[in-house]
Amino acid sequence: MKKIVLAGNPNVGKSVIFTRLSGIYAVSSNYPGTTVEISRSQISRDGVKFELIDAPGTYALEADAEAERIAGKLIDEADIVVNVIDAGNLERNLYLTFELLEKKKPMVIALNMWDEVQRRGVRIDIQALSQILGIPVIPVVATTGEGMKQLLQDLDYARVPIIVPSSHQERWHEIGQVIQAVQSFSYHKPTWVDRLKEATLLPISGFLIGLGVLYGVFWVVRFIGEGLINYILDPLFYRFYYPLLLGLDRHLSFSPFLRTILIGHLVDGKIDFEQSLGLLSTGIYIELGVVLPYIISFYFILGLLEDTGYLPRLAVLLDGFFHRIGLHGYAIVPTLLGLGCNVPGIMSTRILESKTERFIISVLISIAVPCASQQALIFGVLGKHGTMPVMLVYFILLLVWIILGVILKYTVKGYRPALILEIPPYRFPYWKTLLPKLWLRVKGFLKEALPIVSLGILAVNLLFMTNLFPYIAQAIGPFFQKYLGLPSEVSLVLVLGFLRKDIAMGLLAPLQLTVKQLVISSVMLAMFFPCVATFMVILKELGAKKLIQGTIIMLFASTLTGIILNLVL
Amino acid sequence: MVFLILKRCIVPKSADSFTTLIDMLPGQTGTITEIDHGHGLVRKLCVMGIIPGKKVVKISQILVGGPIVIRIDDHDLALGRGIASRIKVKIEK
Repeated sequence: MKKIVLAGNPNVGKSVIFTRLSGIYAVSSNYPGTTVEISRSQISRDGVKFELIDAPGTYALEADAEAERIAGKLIDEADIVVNVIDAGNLERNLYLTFELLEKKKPMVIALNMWDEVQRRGVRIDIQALSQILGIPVIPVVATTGEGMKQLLQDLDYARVPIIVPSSHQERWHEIGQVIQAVQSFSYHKPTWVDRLKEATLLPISGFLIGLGVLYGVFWVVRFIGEGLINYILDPLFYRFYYPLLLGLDRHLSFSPFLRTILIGHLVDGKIDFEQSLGLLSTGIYIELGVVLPYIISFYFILGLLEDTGYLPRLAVLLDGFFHRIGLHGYAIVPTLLGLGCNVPGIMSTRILESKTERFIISVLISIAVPCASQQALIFGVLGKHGTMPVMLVYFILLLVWIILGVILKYTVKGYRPALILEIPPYRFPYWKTLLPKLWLRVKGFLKEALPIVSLGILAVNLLFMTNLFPYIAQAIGPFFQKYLGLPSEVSLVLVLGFLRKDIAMGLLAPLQLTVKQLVISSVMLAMFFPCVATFMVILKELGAKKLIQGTIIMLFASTLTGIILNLVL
Repeated sequence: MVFLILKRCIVPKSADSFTTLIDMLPGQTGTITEIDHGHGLVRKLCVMGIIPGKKVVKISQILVGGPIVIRIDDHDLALGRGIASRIKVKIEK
């Protein structure tokens, strides 16, 4: 089976083309570095099967970052290379093209974002380009699927390029000549939209816009989440699911044990979705009724921010702060991904060149960057007390992130590379990439969360039944009361948070905590042990030694933060 | 703020050959004349199209030691101050 590798600069749309050709969704966003894992898929055309491979984006083939080495290796193994090019940025993209030409592999060029180029009044002579390079050049618009059929057909005409590239010093000169032969601009005057776009990058207006956007994000996440709960999920649960459970409850009267496991304890003679702790009552309700709506709203907004291209601008604005704590621009991408789920966030630290930076950012992500489940928890627990307590939790976490970063900067030695970050143009989010991304993330959440949360609920339930719960609470409880100002039951919640943060959600709810206690618990839950999955990925990416170091830092940081908060708030 | 203004006064702005991306004012256009840095970084900038002879427009300079934003070939790039101070430019009048 022939191997087809999609190769190109970061953020040219390789993953969108992969999704288009294979029907398998590969995560894509409007910023560089989204792909670090390699996606593979079989595609067939006219009965012939190919293996399609989506390589990480790279500017050159002989570079120092992990992602670029991977891309280089994939290209060596390829039978056909599809060089994906951002047509709006032809000149810079051609550098990699020339490096690919040297590999003497059969090639075709997919000239992506063709629609954008035409809107901007750039003219590219496709035939001339194809003639100069000696390979097929196909204009495509990956987001709408335009040109995909042609691209598949033209794989047959892929050939080893005729051009003999010169030395590296001469390369840009040569590319300049090609550009002159094939591309022409028509000047367009900057409009007010252009000015507005620029304003998001200027020091003062950009900062104000950033604050506005962040506040808007908080508001909309709450609005959508609460809307889903109040108007869709709660009515469904109380009107349809509740009677179902009652019926089941009656049928289970023969076995009190089974009844406690599945339905849970009755509160005031009724099933209470939050406090009964049965697999089918609390287990289902927490996941689907409380956490899921916030997961949906959060991922929707994150996807929107990712696809418009605003995130890298925010990153640039914040880079000064990043700099202070010894991190540089690229570290922002893992941090942002970590806001969705810590696991891909930590995996994407592969785009960083130095081990030191990877360690620092992984520790910072797992401690101070709350994932979507944690954020759902924060919104779910504190949302009813208004936007301020929620923002307070975020503010505290940000503060922890900064302080911890500064400390790590001075204690962890190592090389830290400088910032060079490409800022993608603003793009209108396209529902055909936005919705599949949302669906993939929500599906992933359900697949991972449901079994583990059920297990956790079961464990708590059993602990209650065997009276082990009071015992554990007694053992570590005094510490919690004395230093953190939290009831001893919270200690168990924290321990269970190790399995999954969202289990803790439902367990905090029935404890009748004050706003202050809720803020402290939320912060500590977010900082305390990352979930099992994050643990495993740190182990895999950085090794056992670093994991242990990270864990020690985490234990210190979270306990100390809790104690300080109890004193200050 | 005061510090920034002071800094701007002390640094000579139009001593042609010594002007770097840092000294350019937002909105100004210039041509890269030299990249004064080690081989690794020069190469890294080179593969992204940041080479002597290229026209740059400075878009912005973020506060608190933040990066410099420049436009090259109609595309925006953010560069850390350390790098920006090593890229020499000739400013167009």
